[in-house]
Amino acid sequence: MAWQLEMTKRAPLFAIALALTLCSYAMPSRADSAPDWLHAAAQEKLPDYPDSPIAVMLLNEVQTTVQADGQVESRHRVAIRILRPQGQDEYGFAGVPFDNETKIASFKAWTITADGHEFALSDKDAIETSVSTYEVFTDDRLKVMKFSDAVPGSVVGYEYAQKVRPFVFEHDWEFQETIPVHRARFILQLPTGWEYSNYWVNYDQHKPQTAGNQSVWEVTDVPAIKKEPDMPPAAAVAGQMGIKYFPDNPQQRAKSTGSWNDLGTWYDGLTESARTASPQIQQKVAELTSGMTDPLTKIQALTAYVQRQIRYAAIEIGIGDVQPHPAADVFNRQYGDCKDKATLLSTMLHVAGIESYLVVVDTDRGVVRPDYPSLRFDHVIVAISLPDAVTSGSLFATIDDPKLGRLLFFDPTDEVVPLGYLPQELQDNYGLVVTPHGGMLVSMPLLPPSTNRLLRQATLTLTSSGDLAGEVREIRWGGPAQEEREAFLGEQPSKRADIFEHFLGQFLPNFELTSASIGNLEKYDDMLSLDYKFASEGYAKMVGDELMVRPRVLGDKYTNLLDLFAQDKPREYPIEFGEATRQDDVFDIAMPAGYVLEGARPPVDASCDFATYTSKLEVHGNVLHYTRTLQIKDVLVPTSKLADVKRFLQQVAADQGSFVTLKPGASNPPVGSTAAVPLTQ
Amino acid sequence: MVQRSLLLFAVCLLLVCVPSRLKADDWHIVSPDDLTLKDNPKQPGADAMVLYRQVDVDAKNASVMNYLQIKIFTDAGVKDQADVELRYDKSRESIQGVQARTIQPDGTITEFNGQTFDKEIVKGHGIKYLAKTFTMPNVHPGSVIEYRYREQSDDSYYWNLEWVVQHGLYTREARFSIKPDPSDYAPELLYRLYNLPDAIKPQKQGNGIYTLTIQDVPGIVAEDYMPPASVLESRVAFYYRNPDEPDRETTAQYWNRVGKKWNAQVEKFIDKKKELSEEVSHIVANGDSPEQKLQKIYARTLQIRNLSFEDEKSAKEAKQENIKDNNNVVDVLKHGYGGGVDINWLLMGLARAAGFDAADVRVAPRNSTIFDPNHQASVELSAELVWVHAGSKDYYLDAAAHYYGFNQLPWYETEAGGIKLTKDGAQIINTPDPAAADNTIVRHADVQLDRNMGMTGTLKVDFTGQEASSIRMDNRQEDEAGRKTNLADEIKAWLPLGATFQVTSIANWDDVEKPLHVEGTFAVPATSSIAYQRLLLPLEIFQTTEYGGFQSQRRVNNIYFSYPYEKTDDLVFQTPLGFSVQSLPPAQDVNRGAVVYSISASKQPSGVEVKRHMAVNGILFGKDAYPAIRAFFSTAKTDDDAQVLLQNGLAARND
Repeated sequence: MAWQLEMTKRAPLFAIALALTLCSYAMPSRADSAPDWLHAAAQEKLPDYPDSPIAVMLLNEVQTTVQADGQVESRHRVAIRILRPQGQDEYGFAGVPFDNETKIASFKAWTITADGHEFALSDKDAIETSVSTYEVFTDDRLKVMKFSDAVPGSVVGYEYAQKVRPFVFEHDWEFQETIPVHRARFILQLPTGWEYSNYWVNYDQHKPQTAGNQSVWEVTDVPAIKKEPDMPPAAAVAGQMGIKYFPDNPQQRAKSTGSWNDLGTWYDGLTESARTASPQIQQKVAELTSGMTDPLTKIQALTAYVQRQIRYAAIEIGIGDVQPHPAADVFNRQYGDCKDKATLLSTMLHVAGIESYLVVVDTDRGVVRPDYPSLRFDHVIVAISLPDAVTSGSLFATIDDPKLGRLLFFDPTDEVVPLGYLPQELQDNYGLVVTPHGGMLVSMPLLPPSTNRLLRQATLTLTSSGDLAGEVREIRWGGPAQEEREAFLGEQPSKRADIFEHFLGQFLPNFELTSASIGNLEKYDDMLSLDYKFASEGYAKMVGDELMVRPRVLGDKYTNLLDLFAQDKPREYPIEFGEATRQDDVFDIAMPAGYVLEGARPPVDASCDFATYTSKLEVHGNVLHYTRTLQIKDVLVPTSKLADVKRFLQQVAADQGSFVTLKPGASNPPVGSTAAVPLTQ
Repeated sequence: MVQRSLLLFAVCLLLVCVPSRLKADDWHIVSPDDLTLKDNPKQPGADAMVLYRQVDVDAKNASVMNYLQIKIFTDAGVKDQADVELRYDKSRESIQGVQARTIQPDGTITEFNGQTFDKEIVKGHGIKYLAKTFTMPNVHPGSVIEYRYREQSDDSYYWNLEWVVQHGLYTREARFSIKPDPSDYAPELLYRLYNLPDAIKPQKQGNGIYTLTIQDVPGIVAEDYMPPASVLESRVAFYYRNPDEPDRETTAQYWNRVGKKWNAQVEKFIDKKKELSEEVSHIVANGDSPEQKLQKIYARTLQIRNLSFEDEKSAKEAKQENIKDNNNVVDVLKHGYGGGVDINWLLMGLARAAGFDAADVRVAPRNSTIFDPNHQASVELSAELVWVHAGSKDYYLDAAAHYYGFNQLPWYETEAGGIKLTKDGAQIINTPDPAAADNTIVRHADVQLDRNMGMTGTLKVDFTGQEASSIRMDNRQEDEAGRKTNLADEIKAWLPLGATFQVTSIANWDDVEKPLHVEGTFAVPATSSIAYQRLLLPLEIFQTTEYGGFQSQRRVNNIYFSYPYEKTDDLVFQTPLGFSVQSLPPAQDVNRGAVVYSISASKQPSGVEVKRHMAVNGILFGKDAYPAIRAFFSTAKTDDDAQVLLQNGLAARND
């Protein structure tokens, strides 16, 4: 036996980091001369770029050749000039995604250094790594090569070829990057008799150069996508061209998706067989709906079951990216991913006599374009066809479609959003309702402010030394309840008090949380209540014999969004509020004996197109009565309205930060003093 | 400098396995009480707990069997525990015989269907790190999940092994056993204990099997300002001693033998007295004090290109750059480059050539382990530095760390235990305690206030010691634009929400002996759209960053600061036109020895000046000190927020 000394247990390094490290051991291949196309790209004269980009993409070329049998071969060529050290971190390697359905036929990479030396790498220098994150397993992988000597001044390039038999005949050519792109080219070669359609997104349409069955699109000097905090996803803002192709052979047309209806037909065919109820499912439905005659009660029982009892676990192999597992398997194992859970729910509803449809959605607003039917989805939910006997009532996530009737959207994957509501990111978003007769793209509703409520009431007492103590009660419905439930349920019970303390710590000095309780934490259909008590030493600041008090004791109303504007240049991209909401604070602060409010504070009334905010301070006897109300009416703020929203948020921030003065004296006059002497911080 | 490269390909021996004597139907019994258990009475409020764990190692067959039985209490526990991922190196081991099942509180059992997957972590270049993944069926809060499997390693080797007894979850009972190879040629099996009570140690049974049973091991709770988790966890490290090494050494014998061997390597490398003396003659001047001489030598070694901070080079790149191995200090000087160890050994050689006593020092970096000489574990000493006695002082230097000034060590090498090599062996040492005054942030701001409490101003910041070194180190591959961007982001985070900060200049970037000096301009948006007659100005515009880590009223771990430090602020506010200072908050001065804070404000002709000082003068504090430290930072925040009252004099006259 050989010796293996001091071999101790060490956690394996994070996969990709390790992959890149291992790549550094790659031995450059024998033929080191870079290809002509890379030399040509490296010699391109570049314009001056603003903002010191870390690299520039000299060439990004995709050549797609469609075979008559529907197989697609694509060849990709990418050339990048590294301009700054950061460019080495972000573009110092080439990564090619693949899976069992998308084989990499060849993969080569080169470096041309500033002094003219050339290095080459070939397929065997690459490392493979899984790219799965939340999934139990997926066959999605990445092949990675680290360029030799990819330092500022070097040009790096790579070329790879892939073969794929696509699920549908469409392709997205994404040519805009977070670095400038000098030249991008898409070459489409179709079999004789095939046709195509294309659609430009976030970029002026360009016409192709056509020769025979080959079409070539080229764009030049595409500016970089500016990185901004909380900006929309790249897929929503980047310049890109979607292309679809249509075979002349009718038998191959099933993969062509020229319309939303086509896409729905395709997906219905892919999922239909999975929605077969096994005897066990039928038995479970009977058990869950036993004695129920009201369809809504049945819907509540079945949706709660799939949401709560079926654990999220994703196993996606090949077409399993989009095709659900059979409902019977999901039921037996009691786990599945979003499409599995939606499929099981739809199957169970059907057994109970309630029809429903799968709805494919993208969880980022702006990715799905109504005028361009495509497979740009990443999630599946359910639309329940509401029987006539069911009134919409508190089922806020309902639309009345002229063809499909009343549809109630429900996401069985979301762990805390109850029936009647929709997760924030799906509101005011598009969903493709998949029916046996095809697909229909529908707009899912933005739930009104009245459905997403937070009422925070505090009864507090201030001492003459500035200490503040008292109790707070929060009632939350809809979105504010869901956010807080996620936070509390995501923390182990022994650490939940930390959430209260972290909240209080943002607003109070020297505080102690003296009690806290949560009501209805796991009753998702009910309002969430939080009750807590605290004592804060030195809350009010003493200035001479006066006390400076901030009446808004707790809570922030979206002013953290002001940080999105803290940039050197005006913001380019829209911002989003999480949801339409109404939030009220009612704080009563008993003043110390012998103190009165100096003057009074004028009420605040601020508004913009998206939100309103009011606050006022009154004196009721010896109590400061502070109330405020924020309403968010719409969530997506376009760039043209950002200045208005910034001003609005600054007004909210000013009110939140403002102080009033308590001074020794006789009792205050009744409500409505007018001598305004406000203070601000 | 920590020698990380040796660890890069360290093999992960996954612990979990199944006892060979357990058959398919031979699961550890779950009691009715455990089936219905709602919470762990001994550590309430957890998401899950380990009811039972068993690890059995057969050294001869190189197999490790593991069995885990976990009670789930909450939905979060379901999420954390129901998906299982077991990583392994396929080139030398495999995961076999996975069996699993889920038991409901009513005793209903759902068997795992056996579907496992091999996820590629990294594959290529002859390496195949995989993860065996599977997910448990029918898991809900209240379920008990249990699984077992065997890890089979290449039996051509003896494998060192660690039993990590303590994890994130509370463990009610764990049993470990290891069956050594009974062969005559088999090496002796030894072990080291980390963070276990004295009474708990593996017991050698009559059949030669070591066993260890341990109960009620609490889970490690993650908290801010806690010691490194690797320092806290309880574990047993089994290892084989090379038969060429002496048996039954005392601690002193062990370290002397190791020290002697290492020292011989060092001495051979630096054995170029004539060339080193020649080099020293170019570095130092006759009139230099001993410290000046040493400082110049240190500065000279910093000029050597440090290959340890560069990406690993391919053979072609190395050839392209004509990179050659260094066999001795003369090679290092001639080539002008070297690895970190080469550079430190050059420093040692030059110091000796200058007439100083100098020795190689190996320490256990305290970000990963605490040195215990009785462990006789040379592997723990993964950081290497140089001791020099110059004049009447001892110096510990690490030129290989590169971004540290003279007589400064990376924080994890300060107050660290290790050995100093001598020709006769080794001497146990501790590196010096770091001082707060060596690690400082000094901020000077000139701030102009407007009538809506918007602020604009200039800021000058000096970073010293660890504060400077970490910035230089983290940004070592950035160009100036990148450094400016990163520093602007860091400094902006000190300022109020919505503030902007732009770096205008960075000075002393390459001179590690000087404070890293950053200047810039900032703007804090107005918080009001109304012109008020009186304004309140908080004394401190920078966030009290420590405060966030001390909001919880409960504490499990001791409190740990990586290094002591000081922050000193001098802020000059210019009041808006017409406004004057009406009142100032009283000065505060708190000195609790380990933590110090003072703040004061004074009227100036056109505004107010605020001076603030905070120091943390220690590294490790017992958790009993938590309430006091929490109160200290909370009070500091309160005093930072104390208000200066500004009065509009013109308006007052008009009233």
